[in-house]
Amino acid sequence: MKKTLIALVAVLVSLSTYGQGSVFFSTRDTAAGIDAKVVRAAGTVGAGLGAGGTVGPAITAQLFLVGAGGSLTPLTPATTFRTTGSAANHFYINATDVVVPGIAAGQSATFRFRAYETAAGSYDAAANSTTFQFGESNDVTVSALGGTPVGGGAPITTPTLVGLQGFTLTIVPEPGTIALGVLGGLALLARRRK
Amino acid sequence: MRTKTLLLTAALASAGLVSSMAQQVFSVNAVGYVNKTLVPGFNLVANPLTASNNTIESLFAGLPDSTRVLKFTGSTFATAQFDELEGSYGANGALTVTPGEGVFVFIPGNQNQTITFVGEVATGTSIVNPIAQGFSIKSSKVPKAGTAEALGLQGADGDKIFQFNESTQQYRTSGYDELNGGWDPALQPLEVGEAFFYFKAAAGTVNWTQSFSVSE
Repeated sequence: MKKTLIALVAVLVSLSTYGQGSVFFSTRDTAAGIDAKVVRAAGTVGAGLGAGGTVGPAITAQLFLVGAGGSLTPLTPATTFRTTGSAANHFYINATDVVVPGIAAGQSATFRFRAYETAAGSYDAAANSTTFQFGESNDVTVSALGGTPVGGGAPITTPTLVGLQGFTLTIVPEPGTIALGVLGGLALLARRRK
Repeated sequence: MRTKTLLLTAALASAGLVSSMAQQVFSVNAVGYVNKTLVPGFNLVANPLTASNNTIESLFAGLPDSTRVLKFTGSTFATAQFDELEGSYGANGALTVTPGEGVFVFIPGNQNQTITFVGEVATGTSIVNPIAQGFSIKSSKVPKAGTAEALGLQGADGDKIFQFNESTQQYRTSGYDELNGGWDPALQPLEVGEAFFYFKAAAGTVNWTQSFSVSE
């Protein structure tokens, strides 16, 4: 009975492992045509990305799984941007393998790359603030995740995010800023009518 | 995939002295090199020699921008990608590839690349390469060509060998069938520096034991 139970647990563990595919999260791969630079929002300064900025891992890069209806599931590990080498190197992330829970090797999955200021704590927090930078990429579909496929067959090599495009971070302006902008626009309209 | 014949050079590595007796004992390590050609696309590669530095960063230096080395971790792969802006393979460049193991190497572009493995040759009468249940990437620990079976690997019922064909970028699968008396279809010879996927069906670990001397 005990041996049967141990065997069953071993099978369940192995199945759960096989139930997870993986993808290689890299924003620079000249062979695959990936050149997904991320640039800091215009007018921002300080530690972060892009030419002119000082070096510092102040921006978090994270891959999200795009699900049915556009739902987004954060995947781990998140990573940071490069801080060594030339300034041109700092537009890109420190590449990492990402496991995709719930989707087996050999199956397809769609991903979106999001970046946000680390101090915000999360992408949603950054997007809902008026002080933190954030941004996201286009969606990319991978036809076959890497790993050991369920049901047999040799392991599949980990794919890259072909088609991934870069983006510029943004900051949601403060309500006061928006109001000033609206008033300024109205004033211009009034002058034209006169 | 072409591999130049291994050239062996005997070298004195170290001398152990028995202080009480005026008897000197020298150990002789065989050192050699292996040139291996990598084709565009995936190559399933073994490190046939024990180098002073067996990390991916060292073994696969000099390859083009965006070259990827994938080491199997039991269920998936750990990827090391060479980026010329970084000048390195990143954190996973510290992973090692020792004789008996193997990795996938993805070569970008459309030109063959050549790497040279330099290091000590495994010698002795009991060179052991353990094989655990499930999938693993394996290779001969001694730098000899031949089928895995001829190199001392004993299959068991239900086991499979997946040899990777660089030309077609596909696996060629052979299964071990005790009723059939061996591998079906017959195994193809492995070149020096070539690895393969092994699937061990039964629970537990078995040892792939080889022997090799420099006179071979």
